[in-house]
Amino acid sequence: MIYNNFYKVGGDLKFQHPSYISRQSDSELYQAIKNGDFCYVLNCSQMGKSSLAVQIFHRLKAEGYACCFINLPDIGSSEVTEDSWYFTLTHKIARELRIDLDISDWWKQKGLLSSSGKFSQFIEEILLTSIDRDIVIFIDEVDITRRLNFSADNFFALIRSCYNQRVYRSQYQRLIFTFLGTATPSSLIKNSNCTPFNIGTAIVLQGFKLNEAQLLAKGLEDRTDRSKEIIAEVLKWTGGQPFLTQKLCKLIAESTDIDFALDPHIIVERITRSSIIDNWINQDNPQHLKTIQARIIDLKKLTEEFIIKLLWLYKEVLDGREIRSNSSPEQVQLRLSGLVVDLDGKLKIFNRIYQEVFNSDWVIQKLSEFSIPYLDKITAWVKSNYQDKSQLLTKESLENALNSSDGKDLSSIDLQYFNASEKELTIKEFKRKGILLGGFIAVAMIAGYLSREIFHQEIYDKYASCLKEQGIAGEKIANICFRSLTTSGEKPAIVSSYDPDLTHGIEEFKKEHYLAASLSFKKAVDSDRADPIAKIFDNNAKARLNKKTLKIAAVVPIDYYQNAALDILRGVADAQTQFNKERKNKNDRLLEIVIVNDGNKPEVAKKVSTELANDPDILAIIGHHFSGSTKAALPQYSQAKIVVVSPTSSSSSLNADVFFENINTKIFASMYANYFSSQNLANIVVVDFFDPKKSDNDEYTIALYNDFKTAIRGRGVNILNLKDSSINSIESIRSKYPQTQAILAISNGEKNSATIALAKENDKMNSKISTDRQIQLFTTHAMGDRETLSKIKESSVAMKIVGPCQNKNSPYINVAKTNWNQEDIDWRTAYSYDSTQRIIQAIESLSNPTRQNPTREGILAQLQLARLKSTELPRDKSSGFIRLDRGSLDKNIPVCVLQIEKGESVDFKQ
Amino acid sequence: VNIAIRSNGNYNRNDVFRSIVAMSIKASEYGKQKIKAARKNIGWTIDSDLPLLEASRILEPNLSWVEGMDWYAIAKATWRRFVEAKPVREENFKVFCEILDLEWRDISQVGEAFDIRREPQESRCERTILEPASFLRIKGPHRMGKTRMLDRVLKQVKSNLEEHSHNQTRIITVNFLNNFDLTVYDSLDNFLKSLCQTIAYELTNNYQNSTKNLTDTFQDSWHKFDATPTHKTSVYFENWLLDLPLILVLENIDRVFEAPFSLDFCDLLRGWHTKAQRGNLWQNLSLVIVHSTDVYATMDIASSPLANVGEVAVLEEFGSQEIERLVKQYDLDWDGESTAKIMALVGGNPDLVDLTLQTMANESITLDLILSVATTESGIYRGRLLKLWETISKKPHLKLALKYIIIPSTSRRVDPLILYQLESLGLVKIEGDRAIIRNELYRQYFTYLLAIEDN
Repeated sequence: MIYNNFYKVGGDLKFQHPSYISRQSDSELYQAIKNGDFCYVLNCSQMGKSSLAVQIFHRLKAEGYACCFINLPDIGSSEVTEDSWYFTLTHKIARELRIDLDISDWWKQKGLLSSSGKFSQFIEEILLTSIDRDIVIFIDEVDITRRLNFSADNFFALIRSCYNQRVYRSQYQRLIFTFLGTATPSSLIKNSNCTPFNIGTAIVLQGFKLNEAQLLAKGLEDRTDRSKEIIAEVLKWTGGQPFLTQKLCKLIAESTDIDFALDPHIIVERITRSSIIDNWINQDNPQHLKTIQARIIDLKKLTEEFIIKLLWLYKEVLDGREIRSNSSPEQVQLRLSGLVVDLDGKLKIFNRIYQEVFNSDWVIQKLSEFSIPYLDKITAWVKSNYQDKSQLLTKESLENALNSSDGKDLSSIDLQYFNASEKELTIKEFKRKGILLGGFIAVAMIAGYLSREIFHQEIYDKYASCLKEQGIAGEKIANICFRSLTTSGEKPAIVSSYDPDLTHGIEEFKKEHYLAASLSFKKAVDSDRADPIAKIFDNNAKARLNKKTLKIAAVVPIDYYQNAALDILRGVADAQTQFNKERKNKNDRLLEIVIVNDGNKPEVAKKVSTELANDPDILAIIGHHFSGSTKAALPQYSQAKIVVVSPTSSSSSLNADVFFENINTKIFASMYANYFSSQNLANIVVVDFFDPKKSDNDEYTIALYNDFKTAIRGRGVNILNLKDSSINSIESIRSKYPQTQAILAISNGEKNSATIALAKENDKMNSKISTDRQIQLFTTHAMGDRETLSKIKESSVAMKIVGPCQNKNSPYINVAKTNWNQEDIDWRTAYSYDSTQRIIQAIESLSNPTRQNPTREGILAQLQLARLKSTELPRDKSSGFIRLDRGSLDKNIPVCVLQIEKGESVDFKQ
Repeated sequence: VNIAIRSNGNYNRNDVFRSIVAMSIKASEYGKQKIKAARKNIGWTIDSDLPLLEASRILEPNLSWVEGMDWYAIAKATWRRFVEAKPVREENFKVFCEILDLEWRDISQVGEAFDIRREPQESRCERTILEPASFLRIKGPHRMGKTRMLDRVLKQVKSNLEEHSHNQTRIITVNFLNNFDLTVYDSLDNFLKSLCQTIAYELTNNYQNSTKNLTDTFQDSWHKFDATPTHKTSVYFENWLLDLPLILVLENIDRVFEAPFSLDFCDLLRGWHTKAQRGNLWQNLSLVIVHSTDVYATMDIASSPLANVGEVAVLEEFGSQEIERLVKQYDLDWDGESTAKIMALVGGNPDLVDLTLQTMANESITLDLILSVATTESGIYRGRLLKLWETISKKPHLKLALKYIIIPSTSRRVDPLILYQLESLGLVKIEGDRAIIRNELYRQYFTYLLAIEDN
């Protein structure tokens, strides 16, 4: 082999690297920066972004610009708080530009400002004053902002504001930002009002053109005198794609078995085939083609349906069908992979190498890895250039296919195929009936047209109205059939319940006849005293009589965990009733509770929270239920500075300034640790149930598990299976860890049945052996609700729950028992009462006149103050159900144990 | 090449085994060093009772053992012989290894197979490391001989460096399996803090001529600085560690790939390498990482963040030449066909090849006999096979994936994450986007066990 170091394959090219090719984009970027524009180069990977930036960086530096290059991944993304992220960014900029100032001190002095605020002050007070030249800040791999656990919208908005400032402050004209990355502008920032991308200059990187690439011939000059012709042939294969062009050139330069006497056309074709295309998957080093494949078959980020759609779309492009460019998610993904480019408004495959590597066989092979029932027929149909009628579906198989596509997002090829099949069937039907040929064509065309419409409609209906039977429109969010619900009384909250008074009240409420509505709701409350929804609607109707209300949203999983939702709403209703009664003044604004469904699904929670955050009337949020949903919702709330007080989400991984929990997994974990330690239970096996494919609902489980691991340090308690989460039966525990004294089964509420099954097995084994070798089974708070407790009792198993001591005879609990006509009040009700009261107390502690017109920020500030001062709720505004010395996790927290034996439960005891 | 091998294998295997009591093992020279290090790490002296206590607990688990007893299930003299690399009974050898957390085959003279020089990877590794600002990744499944090759490479690199008297290059090795407490992997901040501390400690201890006492500088630079963990690390490197050339070797980095922050850590390494290549201070840093799986399998991204970074040396199974070199060391009667025969069954798995040759040497059994009963209960590979079976049986998804791979009629798409777990166990080999069972022995044995399970 001959070694050639003229060409460089992969990685960025150093400044003035001999094989660096200057393209049109070079002068575009250079000019745009010289004009002072905000520039961005957002492109697919390995197109030469960083190399371009490096060249321009040095060029500008030589001209006297103060240049700074920030590679965003250097800052990190996991465990990065908003403040540390901005601080690090600031520190890096100051360090690179050699600004002589202790940034740590400076940052601390700005204590009260928001992080992004500090960053913009840094720009104004430090950056622009200590450097008097023009400043260019390059920010590379900007797509990493999507991995941050806070929204980067502020960051982009801030860049935009730097440009807006220029009108008023001329010094801002000296500051120029350039962003680089593999993303689309809209995926980086959602809010189009403050995006910098619509005021900036987009630099589009294209493949090398023939005249630009002539420079590459130099590297081949000592091998052949037809180097220029060779380069021209290379471009025919690579389309000027920088990575492939450099690679192919290097291969030619280093190959020892090329006969340069041959025609350049043949030379290049042979080596391209033998060294790149044939057996490509093993020759793709450094990786390029595999990266493209991985971006399309990306099972980690894309759904199977989406991938199938992508593949079919690509197949259409491959077949030379005319596809107009648009910004559909499939097209965006396909273009970002680099495989397909937009040429004069139409999709085209970037180059011949891609076309041969990712050919029809590849598409069919990839499709066959998914289970598509009619794959053979549809591919044969597509292969016949969409002509072969014998491959269309029969009536029966068409129906089956349509049924199995229920709730799926179909590709356009699927739809075309169904339509063609249906059309063919209709024609056959006509033929069978012997309709005269003359009128046939027109009829068939109409039938074909109609069937297309009908099919679109039918397929839409199939997934769009998951709950059509109930006459309520549903919608599909990330594959979940979901019923959107936001109601203060104008819509029923629960689908299945029917109460004529409630229905009537809803009708009146819709017509804004609040007095009539209230009367009907009141009747509904009387007929079912346990129903918190009628009570809330009643309160709302009354509140609306007094003009404007104070709106708080209670987000609960109505259709999914109805019992939990109702228990939570009971506490909310109690607090609302109490507050509205106490505001006697006629002009006082009263509390309105908006009931919102989030289905207990993170995807939905994200959507719902965006809507709530965008509704300026909503002052605060109570909810969500599972920690996973709350986590998905928090970024939206944080950005809108709206407080979230969750009665039930307790994962310690929930972190946001706006978030206030009732109780925290750290407290539980510490209680378990204390208890085990005090009982000399040293050898514990933790069964955490979460599957290796983490679901979002495992947020709580993981947090509790981690907190427990931390809490047992130094307490003489060991987790035996620290590295082994595979065990899931008592038998496996006993055989692997014979010294086990206790099992802690962490259930997030979804794993309650599994826990009971575990308890059964445990009882069975315990009954066979002497007391000293029995294993005690502990489980978590999520199993302490009424339904689960009664299930445990039914199954007559033994287990223990450790938790904070509960006072089941507090004044609130006693009143609630009577009000709701129940023997027992669930912990969730008590917690949600407290949560609502905390928001109410925040409003109450505002001074007049803000108290009458509270703002989100005002409520947030009060709650933060209360947290700082560890203010407890006033006695008559607290459920008194549990008392915790918040913030202290020391060993003396009173711990109670709920012991259930043979279905007999003994209450929480200290 | 042959001469080098001869000097490496400095004893004759058959002689060793004839001279000692049957079924006795002693530690190799390399193993002796490892034992010493492990012993010091725990704090056991050669006269301590504690190893005897721990060993007794394993040997006789039903009796209750406490410190300061008059006698233990194992004699102190045995311990002493073990430490001094004298032959002891196999059972005792394994127990001592267990309490010291060492892999017995690695440190005994039985692990001879791993001393075979691996070409062309080995010279390539040496060359790459000696280049400034380099990034080398050594990749290979478990028990393929990575650690031993790395040791040899580093030894060679050191001696090359020492030829230049004023060379100030420092080499620091961090092993993520031994150096850190498990809890460190819960948080990026703790992890990077421990990493910096470990490097600082090693530098202070091993390179005395450095004027700074690095461990003292650490607290301030870390805790009084509120930047993100990765940035703190980079700044610490810039301020304190990169004044002279540094070769940083990170072993068993798979442990980090499993951590929640793996992506950040890979980004950090990638960023360092880019900076190193751009010049200035960072060109003093050369990185070597050793791992058994590809990175991205555990991460929520489609393509590896280290995919195109640096040079990769993939440590593969033995080829016929390596097997024949090993045969010479064992001094066995051998014909040309034998190599093909052994490879047809076990491929070039160093561990299985070595076991085969060792059995032939020790017990004078013919290769044909070993191979003819290989997959039966009396086969010599049974222990290895059962251990693998036990490992995959604990994880049903691994077992299912294995079934999809080796039983043609069940072929199904397998999650890449699972494929890489099987790859790291050395069970399968990934070619392109397909997985293939490593050898015929595995195929036959596991097909049989999986079929039994189905009935």
